[in-house]
Amino acid sequence: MTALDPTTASLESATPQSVARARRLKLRLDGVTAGAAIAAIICAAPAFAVLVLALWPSDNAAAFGGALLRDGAVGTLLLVVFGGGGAIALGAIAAWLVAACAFPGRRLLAWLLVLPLAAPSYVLAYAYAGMTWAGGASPVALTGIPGAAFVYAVGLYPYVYLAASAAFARRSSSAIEAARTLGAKPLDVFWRAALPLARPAIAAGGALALMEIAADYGAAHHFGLTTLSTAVFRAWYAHGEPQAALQIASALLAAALVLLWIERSARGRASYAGGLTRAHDTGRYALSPVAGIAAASFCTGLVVFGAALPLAWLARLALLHGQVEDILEPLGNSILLAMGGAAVTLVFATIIAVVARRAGAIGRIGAYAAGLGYAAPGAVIALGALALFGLARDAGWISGLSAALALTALVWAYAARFAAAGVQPIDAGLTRLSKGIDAAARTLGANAWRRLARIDAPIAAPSLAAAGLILFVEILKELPATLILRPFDFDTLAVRAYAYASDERLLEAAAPALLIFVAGLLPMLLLTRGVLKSAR
Amino acid sequence: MSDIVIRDVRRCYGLAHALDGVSFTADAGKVLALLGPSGSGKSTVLRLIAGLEPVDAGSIRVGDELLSSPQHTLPAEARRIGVVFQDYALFPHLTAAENVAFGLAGLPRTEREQSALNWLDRVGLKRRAGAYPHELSGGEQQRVALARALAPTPRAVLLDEPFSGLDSVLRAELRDATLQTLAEAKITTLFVTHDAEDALQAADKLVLLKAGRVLQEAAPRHAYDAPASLEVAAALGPINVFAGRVLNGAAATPFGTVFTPHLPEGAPVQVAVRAEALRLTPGSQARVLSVRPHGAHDLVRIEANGGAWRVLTPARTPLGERVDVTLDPAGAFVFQAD
Amino acid sequence: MQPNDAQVVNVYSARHYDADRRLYAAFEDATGVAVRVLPANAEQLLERLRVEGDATEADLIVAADAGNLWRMKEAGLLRNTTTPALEQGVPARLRDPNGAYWGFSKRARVIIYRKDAVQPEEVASFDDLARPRFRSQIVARSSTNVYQLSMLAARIERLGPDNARAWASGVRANFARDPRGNDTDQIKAVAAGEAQATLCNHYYFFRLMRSEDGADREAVSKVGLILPDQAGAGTHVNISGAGVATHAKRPERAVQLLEYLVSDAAQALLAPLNDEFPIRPGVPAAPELAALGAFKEEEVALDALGRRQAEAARIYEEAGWR
Repeated sequence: MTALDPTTASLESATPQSVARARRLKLRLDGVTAGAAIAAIICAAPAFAVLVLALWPSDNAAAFGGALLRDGAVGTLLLVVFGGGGAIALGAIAAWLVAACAFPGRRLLAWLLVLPLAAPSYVLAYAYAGMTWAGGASPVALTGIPGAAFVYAVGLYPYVYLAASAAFARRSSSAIEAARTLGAKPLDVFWRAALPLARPAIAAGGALALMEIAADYGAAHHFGLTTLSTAVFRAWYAHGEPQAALQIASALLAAALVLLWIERSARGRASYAGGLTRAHDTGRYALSPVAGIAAASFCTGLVVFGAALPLAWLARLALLHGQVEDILEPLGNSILLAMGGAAVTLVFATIIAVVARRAGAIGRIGAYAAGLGYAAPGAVIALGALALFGLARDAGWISGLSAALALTALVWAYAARFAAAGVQPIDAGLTRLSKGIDAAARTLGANAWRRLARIDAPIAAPSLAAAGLILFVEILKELPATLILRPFDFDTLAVRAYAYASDERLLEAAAPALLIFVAGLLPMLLLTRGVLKSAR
Repeated sequence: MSDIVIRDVRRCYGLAHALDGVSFTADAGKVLALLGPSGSGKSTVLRLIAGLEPVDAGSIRVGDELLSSPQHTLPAEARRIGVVFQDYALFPHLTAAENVAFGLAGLPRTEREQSALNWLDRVGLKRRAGAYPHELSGGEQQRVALARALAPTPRAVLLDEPFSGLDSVLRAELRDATLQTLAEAKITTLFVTHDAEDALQAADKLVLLKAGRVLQEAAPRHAYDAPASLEVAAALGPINVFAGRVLNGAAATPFGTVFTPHLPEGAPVQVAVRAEALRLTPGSQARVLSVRPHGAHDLVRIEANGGAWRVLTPARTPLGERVDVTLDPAGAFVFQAD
Repeated sequence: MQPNDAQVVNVYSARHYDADRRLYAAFEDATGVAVRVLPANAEQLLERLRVEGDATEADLIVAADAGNLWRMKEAGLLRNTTTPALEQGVPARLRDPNGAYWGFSKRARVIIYRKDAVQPEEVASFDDLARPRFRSQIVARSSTNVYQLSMLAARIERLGPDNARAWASGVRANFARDPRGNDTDQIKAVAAGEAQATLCNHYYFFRLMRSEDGADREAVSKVGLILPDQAGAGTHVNISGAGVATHAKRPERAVQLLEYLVSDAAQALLAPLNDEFPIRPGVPAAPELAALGAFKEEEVALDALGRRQAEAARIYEEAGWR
């Protein structure tokens, strides 16, 4: 069999190394991939502009930037570890209890547990400060790092809860059954089967929570903490050194990259067979009355501390104030802006997620690019977008920031800031897509766009809806970019609440803050319904 | 219709060669089986032919048309080569009919639906046209996947372990049905399997792969009767292996000699003897250890000269505790040992 | 319907007070000119104005704190404007010498003390807050707050950086806890016994007195307000002010609104609404402010508040007052 003789093969140059190198360089470029590249560039541009601006040298920045940077990094790290760790633990435990145990009120709590997501961190922070600081009703004051970590943990755990619920129910059921047949006790099943299998989902949800914490300015500032976020503004506002601010901001962006990397590698090789098998409704563990009450109390506690209590406090303030100043217009503006922003961001996020899934280099880079903005404070992203518009103006492409351009910049900032929040759930939804399905569609002659429209999008449809709802709520809550980039006489609820709160009129701020929550409620409930349904 | 010609194809993952200079030809309108153990690279061959991965060296052609070379990879969607995936890869959000119609995008709607139904009918699943994949049994899913691959009238169809997920009864039934469908379609077919029985019964030609190399390319009868290597012999059915040397132009086994005209005198050899090439008669030469039913045969394990051997005899052949053994040279092959 | 362009004035405002909206409404009623407002943070407005350049829609720029206005001016975003009505309306010390910005209301930085723990004489001066007498008895907000920065900037201008550093370190050494929250939180902390004294803008005190929340009213009843340094240099005061944008498309409308803001009518309207002091002595203040009586103001050039701001931030940072 001469054909087997390697020396007769005519390609001596094709060593494995050179071949591998050649393949790395050759990117598969089709329309969708090109679209993803463009989407990624659009989403990353503001953050990237910040990085470039930060490279401009500045003498003053070095003088105090170093100490600020160090203290900010320590503060952010502590908050990420404790606040983020808390959110992950609370979310995972709640999801497990709801998915695997039977206890009183479980069905209702499964819905309610998601509510804290509708409340912005800064609103929770103001409410808890009002409740527990001097003059408040609580004997324990929530202050400092522990206080802020608590606020983040109870406010952000739903990211993990949502992701883990779906994972526990959908992916792990057969493994859980197997573990049970092997005689594993409930706790064993959780630790050794359910948790490891849900790890990618928990990592994805946890990464969102961690990046929210890193980007948060309002709550950290009100608690008087030095984090990377507050350091950015300290340098920018107090020291009048936008340069140093940008440099600290780029540290924040680097942190985002690290978080993304951790999240991506946590999922790593855990690839799921698409599987047409339906999850069986594994029987739930019947808890003893005491354990059942403990489980119910735990979940109730999360809902109370993450949503009910601070909202009750806000409601009390709003009632004390008694009158609501023309709130309808900001409400309309908020909803309009959130819908438009969510729609645009969703398109970008979908293209990026699909291409990332197809595992091209562009897709992977795109996923990182989209994630960059998520850990950056909105004001920094807005600054980056403004800087790019400034460049465009200097180049003579545009004459200035008209109302239409300001809105464009605002939607752009939203996309840059939140694309990652959309990519994550869509990507999770696409794990249902076995690699073979894309291949099957290709062998049946479907080009990239047709596969996107006919295969990826419909299969990920529930996730797309979920991503859209998350984006809607995120943008509804967004403050700093909205504040700086909106057109004249265009107040949103968040802007209105901020205006009052910054003037220390918490009573007046309560009503718009409460309305942000109420407006986010319906999407959150829809989202829960979707997740719980798909989990069944 | 044209042959598919695979020439000197290599494929590396990192530094490892998944395929290392593979060449063979799939004849037009015939069924070719790629047989090999796990990790032999047989599924990779399919993916390369389908255009799902590029080749790192060599070429793949259909007739005169170049499909793959290191510089050029015709995208899968432009190849018109159908694939039935191992897990079927049915689109979970589409019904059986919609799955089959997926590849018929160029046709008007009614024609597309009609064609899809026709194809479902040909695989006997017309009544399940509206069912979603998760509502279908494993066998039904496989048939939908086959109909889907054939519906766009591809130049060839590739099947990746098409029967592996099925129980043995269903398997034989489905294999015959599939082959019949393919024969009616008169389409060039490549299928991958690790099951020798599937390969021997279904294929017009066998390509045996191991560790990324082709061991033999031959018709099933020829491969079975004249294996190119010990590995090929072992891959196609149970064998017994004797080690020895060439003496007087023949290799000795405990049960007789096999002539080796083409091997040098004194060379170390291995003799492969098919289990059915040993004949047992009541006698004294060997001791019977066990007799087990093996389909139409009994698998008899015997002990002789300090070794254990496997023999296939017609079922229920009466044997005593001891037997005599004769060897049919047609079922014995001598290979020079390394 | 969009109002006729000539009948519009666009305001970028870093003040978020309802009082301002009422002022603008009154202006609209009086002149028929529509006021369109874009409220945002001063720093963010500045960045936006920079990017917008000569294409900006902004006619008038409004900000609280002279430091913010100074930065706008330094960035070339304000044009020098002078009219007799403005010169007449605003005392020379409460405006930019070249007319880049004009004050239209005045606030004082005051000391709040707990009545049952502190004698008023003990907190007669800001210097007192740095004395060992108040070890672990002072609360304060973050030094990044512009009010806090301007206050120290004025001290640097008046007494030099060493004095300012010593004072900041002294107060820092007396902290009962790390800085957090806003001015109102500091008042509540003193009332609740977390500390004996703090410093804040005067109007937050009066606002709490009128709060719809009974707990607020009770808290404020426990504390007293001192206008410090009456025996010395005078109480630190700051302004809210406005200036005409360099690239204003309707500068005459901007001037019209600016003149309105310092007019008797507007001053009389604004004073009781926001608990701020009118910009000039002739206008009567709200009754509770009037009860404080006339007081001596710190005499420092207004632009020093901006000029010295970065230095103030650095001194706070060095003193460990975050």
